Amino acid sequence: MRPEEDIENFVRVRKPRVTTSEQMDNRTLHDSFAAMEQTIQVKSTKYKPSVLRNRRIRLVAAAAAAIIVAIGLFLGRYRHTPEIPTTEHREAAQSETILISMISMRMTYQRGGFDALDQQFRDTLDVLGPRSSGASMKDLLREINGS
Amino acid sequence: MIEDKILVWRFNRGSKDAFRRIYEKYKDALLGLAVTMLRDRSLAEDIVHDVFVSFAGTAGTFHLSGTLKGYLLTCVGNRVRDYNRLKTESDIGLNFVDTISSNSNGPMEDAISREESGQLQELLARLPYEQSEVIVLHLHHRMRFGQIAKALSVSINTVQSRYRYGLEKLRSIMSNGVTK
Repeated sequence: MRPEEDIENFVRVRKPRVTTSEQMDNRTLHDSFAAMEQTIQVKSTKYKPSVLRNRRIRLVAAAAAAIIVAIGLFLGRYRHTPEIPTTEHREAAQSETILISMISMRMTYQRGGFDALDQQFRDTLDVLGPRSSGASMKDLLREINGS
Repeated sequence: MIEDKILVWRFNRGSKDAFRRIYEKYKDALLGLAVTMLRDRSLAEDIVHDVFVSFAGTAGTFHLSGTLKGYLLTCVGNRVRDYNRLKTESDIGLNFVDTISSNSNGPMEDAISREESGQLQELLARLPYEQSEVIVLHLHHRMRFGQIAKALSVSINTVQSRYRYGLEKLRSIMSNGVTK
């Protein structure tokens, strides 16, 4: 086949087969890691959130969490009323709380992918901190909302 | 694609392993593009190095909207374009013969591959940069026109026009027997 007849094929088959040298790999990775460390260091020294802003975020997140939990519990009860026929029982989640978390995570992922999930994790940790997972919902709400 | 999303997610959290994996995955493709467009191996290595170092500097804030490969290839393309703007034409293309180091398929195959790639690089150098860039991204790196358009921030019609005119010009150069 002459190149004039199939110019695309002519270009395609002449793709250069290049590989990086070990020296280049070492140099690039070394410099890149240094750049990464520097960026992360600068970020960590720059990040000083104001108390007021942090508090606001906490309050908003706590209120949102409380609403989600309340709706989840309400829906959970409503589902078990005799008027609504229940479908086949599946043990997908061990408790209502876990199911609500799963639904919340799925909705977050649909909304904004990994970035949104990551933001939600951060917000959750900001609000709940290192509290024991055995704490009851009531206790958590009382502690977070202060009432 | 999913793997890239996870790698970027880990990279944004400072994972050097994730960065290393990204580097291993795309280094040869990026170097191939740079070599094709520049016809100078050492310069191409410098450009790929700079792209990765610059990418590493975005750890924690990097947001991936298209494909990671497309993003990195575009970074290389932009740097090559900047370099070509600064460089005078007379300096270009003196050592393209030494640009290819293949995976050693045998001396004869290497020599043929080297000659063929050199021939293509010579031809591409005669096209406007925008046209050769689109041709290489589409035919060598299998990027779709839509992806290229998004990466270059131009319309898909512009990309298709550049591709078509580039191919026509290549065909014209070859049929005129300018290259041997």
